[in-house]
Amino acid sequence: MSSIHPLYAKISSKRYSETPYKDVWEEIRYRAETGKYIIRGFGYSGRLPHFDDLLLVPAQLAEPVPVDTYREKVDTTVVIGGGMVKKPLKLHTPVLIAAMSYGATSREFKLACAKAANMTGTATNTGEGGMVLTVKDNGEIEYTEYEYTKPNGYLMVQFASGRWGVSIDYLLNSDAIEVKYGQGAKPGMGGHLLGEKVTEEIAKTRGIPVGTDCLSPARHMDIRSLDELKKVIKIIRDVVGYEKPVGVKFGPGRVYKDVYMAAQCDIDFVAIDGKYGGTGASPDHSIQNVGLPTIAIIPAADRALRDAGVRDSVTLIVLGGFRHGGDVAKALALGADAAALASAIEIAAGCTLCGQCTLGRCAVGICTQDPNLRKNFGGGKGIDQGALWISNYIHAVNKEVAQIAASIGHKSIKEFNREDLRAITIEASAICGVKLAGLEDYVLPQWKYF
Amino acid sequence: MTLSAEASKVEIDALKLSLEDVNAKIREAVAKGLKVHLRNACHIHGLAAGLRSGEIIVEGDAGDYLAMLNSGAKVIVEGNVGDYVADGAWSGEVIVKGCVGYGACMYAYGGVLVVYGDAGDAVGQILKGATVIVNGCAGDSIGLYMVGGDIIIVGDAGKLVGDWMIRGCIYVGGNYDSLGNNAKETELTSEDVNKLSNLFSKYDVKADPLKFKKIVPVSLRPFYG
Repeated sequence: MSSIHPLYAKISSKRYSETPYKDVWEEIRYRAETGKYIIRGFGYSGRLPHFDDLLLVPAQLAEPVPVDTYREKVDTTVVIGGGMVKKPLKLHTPVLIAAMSYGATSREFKLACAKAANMTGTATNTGEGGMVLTVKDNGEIEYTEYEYTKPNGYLMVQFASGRWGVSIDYLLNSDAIEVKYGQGAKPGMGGHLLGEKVTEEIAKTRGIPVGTDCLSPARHMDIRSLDELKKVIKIIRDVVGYEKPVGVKFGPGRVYKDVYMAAQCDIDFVAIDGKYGGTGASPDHSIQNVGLPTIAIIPAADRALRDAGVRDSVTLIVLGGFRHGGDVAKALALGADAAALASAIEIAAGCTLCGQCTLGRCAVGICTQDPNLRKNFGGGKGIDQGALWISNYIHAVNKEVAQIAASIGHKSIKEFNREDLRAITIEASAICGVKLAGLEDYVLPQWKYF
Repeated sequence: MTLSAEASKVEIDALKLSLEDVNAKIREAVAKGLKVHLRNACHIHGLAAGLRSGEIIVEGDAGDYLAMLNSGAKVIVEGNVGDYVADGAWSGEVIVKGCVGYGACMYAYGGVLVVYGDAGDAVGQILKGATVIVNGCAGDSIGLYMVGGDIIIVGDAGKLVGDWMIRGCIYVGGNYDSLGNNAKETELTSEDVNKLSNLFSKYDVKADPLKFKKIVPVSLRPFYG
């Protein structure tokens, strides 16, 4: 019987330490011991091609010359629904507050978002759980979330596959309507809210019994074709008096086809959520494996709108992984008109990334319905403090976008274009059709034709 | 739009009108407290959507999404209706004397839909609190994902009755092909019989409540519990 070589243990130990199973050992054991898959909050964890793989090209001697940001104004306004509706959204910034549902998040957080929208002249979004309401002593219902956005902000309401709280009053007490097909963290899976978070207040808003699990199906039960989407959008326009922009939101799927098809439906905007898009509760395997990177979806969506001949009338809003003005500027240069932020807004409002969102035990009062935990919102100072943090953050990001635009030589964010960017990785260059830094050309010749 | 001899009634011929035109005329008439009689409206999808009050009588057939998001109007159709009638309704009544297509009363929180003929597949999917009565037969997958309300099928129903239902009740007077996941048949209670009797009496449905099968959810938390 041969003896074990003295180096064997060292070699094998080194190999084990570098195995790809090492990082997922606990996850495999969790599945083995519970028979369950993992549900968690927040978004993709790991490294995907992202905005960090792109850099912006500053103006120098060659035209255009830089704009002096301290004395020359950069136009950061965005209009949604400009050509079609009686009351378009006239935003002061390309930074929007993305859809986060009431139920997944607290009343205090939702109202802080609404108030921050007012303070910054931007739009916030109800998400798919209905609107934060207040029932007055006389029984009258006040559309509180909508009211908090006024006079300077806007409230988009979602018309999602679960249709929670969607009534004629919900649509009328809004500024825009978003037909939601999917989101970045779980595209193709609809939505989930566990019964633990369905308190009396949430149950009232969603019109269901307390403790009921809320499942938004993977697809709209009453919109099964493009023709039906056209009909529904037409009806939504009709019931709100042809006043408000109507759009569609997708997860990062077959982006070109999805957007091209939506563009046939007489929409004012399309929103697409990328792979870094967050969630209150989603299956980990979906978050990590299903969907495409944010930087990959923007050129495809932009191209689809151009090919459909509606690029000037349909606003492209992109979501998923925005952290600062640099990310927003890069998205605009890739072809977006605006960016909607969710995770960063939560962090601005106090989120510490504790990972308790799914369980509703958020210690800072954002992703919880627990009355005691909700008292911690805004550092214990409530809605006004949360709104101030969020509005400060949006103001700062907007200034960053304006300064970047100026340094590139743009007097308006509408002037951003793909020539403003260079990729610093071959992958990013290939994925989003941006010239490779140094090479000053596309790494894939196909992009020359788009 | 013509005011009829009866001063309280408006007649609308929708033949050459768009959704926008027809619904605007309906809203105008309803705001004046007038009853609306419509004809030639089968090409209009979304007819009488989002109304809070009023009485609309449709002579002949109606298109898809009739009375979508209804919030209090009474809509009577003398003929047949397309898909998704009373979609997302909150209150009011929709009475169809003929048959309806796919997806009747989906998502509806409240109000009543009565269909005197047959209904297609997907009646009352994700129903949240409305009452649906089909005097004839219904197709497959009725009550899928329903979280409240009552679906009453006087005739037969198809496959997967109550699939993944969480709350609410389904009553079938005839036979059904199969139950869905998380659905079970249970005994009628006296409250059920009273409820059915009252509804049948109110809407002139000739059926014996005692002969109905009642289908309810097995578990209140079939997805995550």
